[in-house]
Amino acid sequence: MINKLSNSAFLIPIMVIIAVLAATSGFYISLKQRPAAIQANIDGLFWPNPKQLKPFSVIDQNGQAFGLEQLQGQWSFVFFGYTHCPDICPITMAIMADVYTEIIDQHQNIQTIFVSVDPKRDTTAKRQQYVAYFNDRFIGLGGDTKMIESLTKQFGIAYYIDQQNETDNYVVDHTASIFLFDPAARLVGKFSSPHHKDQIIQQFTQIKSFIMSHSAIH
Amino acid sequence: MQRQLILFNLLLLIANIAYADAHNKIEINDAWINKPPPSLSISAAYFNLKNNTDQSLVLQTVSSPDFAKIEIHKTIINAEMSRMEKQTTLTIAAGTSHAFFPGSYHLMLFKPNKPLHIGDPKTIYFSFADGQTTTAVFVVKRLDSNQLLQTHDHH
Repeated sequence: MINKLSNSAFLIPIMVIIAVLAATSGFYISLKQRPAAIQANIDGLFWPNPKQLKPFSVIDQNGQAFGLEQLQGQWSFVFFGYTHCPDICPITMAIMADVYTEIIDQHQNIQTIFVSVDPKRDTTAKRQQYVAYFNDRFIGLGGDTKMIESLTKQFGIAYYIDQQNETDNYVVDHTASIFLFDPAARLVGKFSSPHHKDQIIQQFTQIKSFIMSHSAIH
Repeated sequence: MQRQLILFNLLLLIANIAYADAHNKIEINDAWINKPPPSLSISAAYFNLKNNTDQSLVLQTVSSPDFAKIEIHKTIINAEMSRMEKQTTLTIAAGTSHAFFPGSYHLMLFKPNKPLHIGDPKTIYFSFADGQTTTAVFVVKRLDSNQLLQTHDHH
């Protein structure tokens, strides 16, 4: 049989067809694998299976309720801190303000959110003055401990209030990272400290491009 | 006459160098205060402290007539958590500099006597364990994130 085939006039065309099929399927497989390669090259991207936020309830800087629906449709930069923090918080807020100013014209559905993890001192009025100092379009969220934890506990945001200090000068340990939520309210990225404006913009652009090419998000 | 003039100028130069050395044993440069958001009674100050002496310096206390209290603090970021630690003293080895910059060492300024405005000069006093003291004028300004990048790169 083999001998017959080897003598057949169809052997060469069959081998060519097999070779073309092999090359085509190899190319197809490489295309399918490309997202994983891109993913590995984007610093701070959470993929696959980004954490989907569930409903939560906090208060914004105007005293209005703020929940899951306010994240939907927006790319949200979220930072957890407290207004009495003299160093890392104002630095991060200043950088987020510069990032916002630089990208808002190009990426219009963007919001920047400060979440206070100091419910005792950071009243609604305090948060309003605080966020407006950096940009009057920034959002300042807070509320009581239960409200704040309805958000922080969903994705393991840790903070620690120094209860030993009984004066009003206590400090709060908190995460130094900025978190990125996509318009479907999924935690898709994180910008680690120390923060640099240009680096955040570059990472954000890459993450957004990746998410949009892998989801029905615009 | 010309030789005497050269000699005189040379002596003047040596005297100037000696004077500058005696008066700049401890140098404080690039001193500024980050203007805090309104209504906040705390802020942070940054600077570079240079020890031009041949012995270690131990910074003990920092004070100012413009603030109720000043503490030396350091921001420590470990496993993405930010924590502020009060430093009781700070040692600067002979002939070295110590930078206080955003995200690291800073002076924590409590309760200014009056609101801080951009451009305000604020005098701060430094006392060392060996009895030496020095004074520096800090200027209030708003943090520039581009400058911050240079600071991180520099240190």
